[in-house]
Amino acid sequence: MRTSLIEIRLLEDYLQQRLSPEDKLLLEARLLLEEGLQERLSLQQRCYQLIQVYSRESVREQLQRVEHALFTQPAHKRLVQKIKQYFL
Amino acid sequence: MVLEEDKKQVTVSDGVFLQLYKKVFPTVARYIGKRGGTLEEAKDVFQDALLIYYERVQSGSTPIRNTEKGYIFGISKHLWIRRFKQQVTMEPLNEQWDVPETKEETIADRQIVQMLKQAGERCMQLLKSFYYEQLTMADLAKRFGFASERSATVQKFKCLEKVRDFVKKNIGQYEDIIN
Repeated sequence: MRTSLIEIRLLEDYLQQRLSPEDKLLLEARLLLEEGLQERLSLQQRCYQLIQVYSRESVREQLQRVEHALFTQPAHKRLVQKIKQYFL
Repeated sequence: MVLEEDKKQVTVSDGVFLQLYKKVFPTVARYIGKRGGTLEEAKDVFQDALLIYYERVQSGSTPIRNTEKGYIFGISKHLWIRRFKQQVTMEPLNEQWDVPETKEETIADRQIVQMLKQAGERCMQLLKSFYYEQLTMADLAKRFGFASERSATVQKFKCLEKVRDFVKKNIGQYEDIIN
């Protein structure tokens, strides 16, 4: 694995609290001294949040597709009629 | 439990979610309808409840003492009460359903996710499979056709790097969206 990917793995281990106390201390010292490292860490943290947003959107799209099928397919007509009666 | 049985599958199919809709949604609809809610509100609440349930199954944090139907209904009920502030004093919330917000994503987040999709949908799918669905590296390699777990691991970090570079490059535009 190339160096930049090794660093990404290290930052991930740090964010997920998987580093040993020694490695954590070492990285925290590097974060203070190494230009750009803190920025790369913050950006990586942001990426995980965006992956979460993307993932939830995907599941929501799937749920909307399923809901649409339930309310439009003739096979579920009786069930849908029953559901609609609860709102009369 | 339908969804839990399906967790080991490659992906949760539409059919599994449809079964849950058929099994649980009528009960949720009746509950919300009786309390003056509309069908659209019931659909909205149920969708959020299914999303929460799905995430809990993925993370292995569903309590085994509940049935699937009871659990999803419990989340729906909780969401309805929280959302519409109805009968809170009449029906104290059960602590086991400490439901997180599911719509906390900002417009800016959604905008940048749209940009990321255009930049590399396959990478986003791969990252979703690992970080959100919590697939093992072996399953990830199988789903995306990598020769080994090692190749899948390397690809995962390459994708993360690509996304990070993209976010950095577009941060100006991103901040414009925020502001």
